[in-house]
Amino acid sequence: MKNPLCCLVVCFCLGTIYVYLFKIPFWPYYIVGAVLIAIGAFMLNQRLGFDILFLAVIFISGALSLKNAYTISKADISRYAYNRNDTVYALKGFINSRPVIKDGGVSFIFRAEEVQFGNNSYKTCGDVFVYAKGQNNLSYGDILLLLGSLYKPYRLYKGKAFVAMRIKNNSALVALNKNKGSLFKKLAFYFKDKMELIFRQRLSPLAASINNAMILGEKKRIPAAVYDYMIKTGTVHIMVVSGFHVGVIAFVAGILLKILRIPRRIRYFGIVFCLIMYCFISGASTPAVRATVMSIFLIAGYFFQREPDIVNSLSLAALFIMVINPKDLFSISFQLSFISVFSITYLFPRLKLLFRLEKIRIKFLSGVLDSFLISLAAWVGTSGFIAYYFKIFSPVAVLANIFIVPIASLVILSGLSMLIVSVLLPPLGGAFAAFNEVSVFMLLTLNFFFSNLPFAYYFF
Amino acid sequence: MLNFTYEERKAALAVIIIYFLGLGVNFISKQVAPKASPLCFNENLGKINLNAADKKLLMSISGIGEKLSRRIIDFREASGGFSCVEDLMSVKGMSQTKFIKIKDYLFVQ
Repeated sequence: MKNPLCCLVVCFCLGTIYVYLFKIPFWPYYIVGAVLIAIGAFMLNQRLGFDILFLAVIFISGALSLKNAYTISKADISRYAYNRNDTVYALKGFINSRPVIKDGGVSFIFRAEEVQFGNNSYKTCGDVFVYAKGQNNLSYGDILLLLGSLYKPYRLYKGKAFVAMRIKNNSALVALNKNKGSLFKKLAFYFKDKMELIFRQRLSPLAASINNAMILGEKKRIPAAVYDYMIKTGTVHIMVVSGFHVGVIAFVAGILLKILRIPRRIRYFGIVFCLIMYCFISGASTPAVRATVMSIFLIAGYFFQREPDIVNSLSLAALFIMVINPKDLFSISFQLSFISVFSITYLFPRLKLLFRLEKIRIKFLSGVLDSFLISLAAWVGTSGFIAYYFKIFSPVAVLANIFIVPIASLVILSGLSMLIVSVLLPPLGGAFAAFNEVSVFMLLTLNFFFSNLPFAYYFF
Repeated sequence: MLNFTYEERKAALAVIIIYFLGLGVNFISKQVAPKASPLCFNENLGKINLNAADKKLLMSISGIGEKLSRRIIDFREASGGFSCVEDLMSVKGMSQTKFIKIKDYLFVQ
């Protein structure tokens, strides 16, 4: 088989779906898996027998991974929180996200390590979403003592934290130290703050919000109307950090390292470092992680002088994400991200053959038709999922993407160039900012135009 | 089927064994209940001293408004200070429900 990783991912996913549909006990399946591994060790010489056993073990691994992910630790902080709870808890831990300042307060994800209530203190684990009023000098890695009541929000609107704590009293938050958290993440958040500042200083609020979303993965400040147009035209994917961004970062990092005359093999490590840093800067969302893992896999292919394979690298990215959090398989962003790349990889070459594009001699026309077919392939792959989740069907998406994706590329390129130039040659930053403003204006105008075309979209 | 070489099969088996062991250890660690230990933070951590707090600080507690904070300060000045948190019940406008809600945020020193 040319793509063995693809086969492994399918088996892992089937195991995960099996647990999603049926409840299973952990230990009997674990024992079966262990026995199959033991038998597999004796069948290393038998190719077919080993392969069948190995795929069965991968299936069980997928099942057990999801089962384990669903099991909440007995020390988890969520065990202390109830929907209506007036008990006051003292929590010790550290800030595990980039604090967001909003409405005169700050919100962040707090990694709890110790909880105290009544007359006892307990070791704990898990994340708590904290909103503290009147605080604005907190940063990632700060060790804090918090006092307040824990509750479970009705809507799990804040990512992975199931428990929330509201600090209304200034003295109920005591900062102890600043030494927790990873240095890498601290560096990533530092860069993100600086980039946001450059966008704020150089661009208009609307252009800054679009750039923040497209380059830094911060979608909170995009006006609702703009988002609405993008959903209607099926181009909301341009707001997600994905393969194109990662490609641009890899290209720019490669060029800069080449100018510095760094040897080729060491350059690969530099590019990988930049990609991982960018992944953290952009919030490590599923599409960003997918694109980063795929790129690292392709770079590793060049490093070891092996032929890169897009399906294998896509499969590895899926396996990587699901091993870390198997629940991601059921998230919309995971499904859309992988299905779009897979359908482009699988359908585009076939559509190209079908329409006999290789016979077209005019390069420009061939390029335009290529873009059309890529857009069509992605639309065919994702439209079913979009219709199911968002209850919208947008035939205009195929046409809109041909025009909007290149302009979105201009926004990203000019935005990234503006960031680099603003640091290296600040006086030149204004030119890139002006170009970026024009690109954003064109992007929004086209979105407005396509969303107003007759039969552009149907809600059902 | 998977077209692995003998060496690749050995490597794949090693990886899956490590993953399986990790999964088992992680699952067991989730079953261990935390043991209670004596209090290790300061009992008054984050609480407001009723005998020292100004109007603004008192108002930072949810449930105490401008009027009530003024009455608390008036009461403190008139009585020469609070001797315990329960003295708050003597302040005009302090209901039993409100007292239960705010008492954990306060201490007397």
